[in-house]
Amino acid sequence: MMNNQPQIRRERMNEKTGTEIYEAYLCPIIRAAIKALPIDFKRDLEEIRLRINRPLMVYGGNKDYFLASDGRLLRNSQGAIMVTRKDIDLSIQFISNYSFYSVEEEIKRGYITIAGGHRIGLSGKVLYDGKSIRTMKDFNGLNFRIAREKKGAAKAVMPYLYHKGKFLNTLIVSPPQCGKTTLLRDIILNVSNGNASNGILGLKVGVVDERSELAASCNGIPQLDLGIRTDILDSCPKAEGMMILIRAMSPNVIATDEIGREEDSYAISEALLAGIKLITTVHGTSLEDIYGKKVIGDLVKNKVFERMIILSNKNDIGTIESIIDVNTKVNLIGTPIRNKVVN
Amino acid sequence: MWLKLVVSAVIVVSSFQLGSIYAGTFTERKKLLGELIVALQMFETEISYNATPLPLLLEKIGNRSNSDVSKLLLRTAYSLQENGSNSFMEAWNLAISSEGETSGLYKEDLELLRLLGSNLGNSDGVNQVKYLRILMEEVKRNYNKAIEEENKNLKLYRHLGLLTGVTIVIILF
Repeated sequence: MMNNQPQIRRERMNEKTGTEIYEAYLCPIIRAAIKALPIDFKRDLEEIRLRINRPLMVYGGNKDYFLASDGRLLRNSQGAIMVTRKDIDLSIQFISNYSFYSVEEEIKRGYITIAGGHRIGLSGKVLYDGKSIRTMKDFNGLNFRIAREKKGAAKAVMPYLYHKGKFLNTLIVSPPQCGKTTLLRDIILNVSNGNASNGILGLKVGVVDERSELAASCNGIPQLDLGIRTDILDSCPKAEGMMILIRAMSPNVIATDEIGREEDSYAISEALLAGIKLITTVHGTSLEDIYGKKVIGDLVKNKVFERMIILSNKNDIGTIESIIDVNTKVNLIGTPIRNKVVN
Repeated sequence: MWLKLVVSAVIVVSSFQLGSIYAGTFTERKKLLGELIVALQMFETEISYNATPLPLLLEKIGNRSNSDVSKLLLRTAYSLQENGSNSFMEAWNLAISSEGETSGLYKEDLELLRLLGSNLGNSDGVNQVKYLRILMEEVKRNYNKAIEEENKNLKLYRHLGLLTGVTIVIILF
């Protein structure tokens, strides 16, 4: 009898029909509506928003719409699907693979990454035990954020990050929402893979992905490409993660997102002692701005970083304003690079 | 004379067999409840240490044996991964309706299984373990009852079968 059971399918993506992976995580009614969306809108789809007892909304191309059950986009809420408690609970079951306990930590952080690197934000009743969030229950809202991998964002900056074939410690400085993580991800990919035609060798890169944003790991498997020589510590605090990498994975380069806590600086000095190169990011707008910051300011003053990439969204999101040689404080690019690839 | 002897023997043997088969249902229930206890222990370990998601966990435990409990677990795992429109509880209850009703389990055992289905997967690891332990106590109680019933009834029904056969033979001839 048991042998007659059909093989259990692990992949949720139906490759034959080209159904997007995230659709399988929606409750059936909403899944059908999303499936029926106009194709050109679906390409730009950024968010699917479920709010309890509110009309279903989708966001894409800088506009939001209500959604009818046949996939029509509506400007007002009449005729839109009303999201119910059952829709949200069922979607949560699919997202957590029917096992709340297996995504406990993710729920505490307020989001779950699913296959394909898509991220689902959660809101609901938070149970707080005085020191930290214990868990969340009675979910009232879900935000499906559709991830799109954009390769090529780092193409223009890569030549500036090497000196005589050696990778230089690099700091990316950027205000929020300027494509900092996308750029970092693509730099990691390039450093890890190397570039045979330019004689640049690939390096072993260790990534501490504290917020699962860089690799968007799902069950430990990176959903976004960080290169062939990359080791990823998922959901690991940065300082501890860097120490683990130094001890265990012998990386040439360590990459992390948003450094800035006291304990990070100790881990960084350990890494430098071990001869490991660094690439990291920080919130900010200019070199002067960074000097004022505690941990990272000291690192910059001590000339730990050799290159600094400053991003802005003045012209386009992800415009590279300048690439500074920190030792000489010279801007290496004449005019800002408009980086269309970064969204 | 020979014919009579052969017919008598057939009657006695087959009624003894009938008695044994009926008595066997008590053994079957005991065996299934024993398996359920082992399965619950595995649930506890896998959930608290590995946080294995339910579809994989059901498959893993279900593949260990060929009993009705395993069939129930595998059917649930299969329907969860296959259709993606039922909640866990719905899939579980459907599996109980199709696999459980024909098994050697009693109604009260199936009730416990339904209770398990309404709680599996919907809380954090610590609470899942607490819940599994409470349920385990209930299952153990049923298991002990099943052993008692087996001890009481196994011999009884076998002997009853044998004696019925002998009685029929005596009345006939």
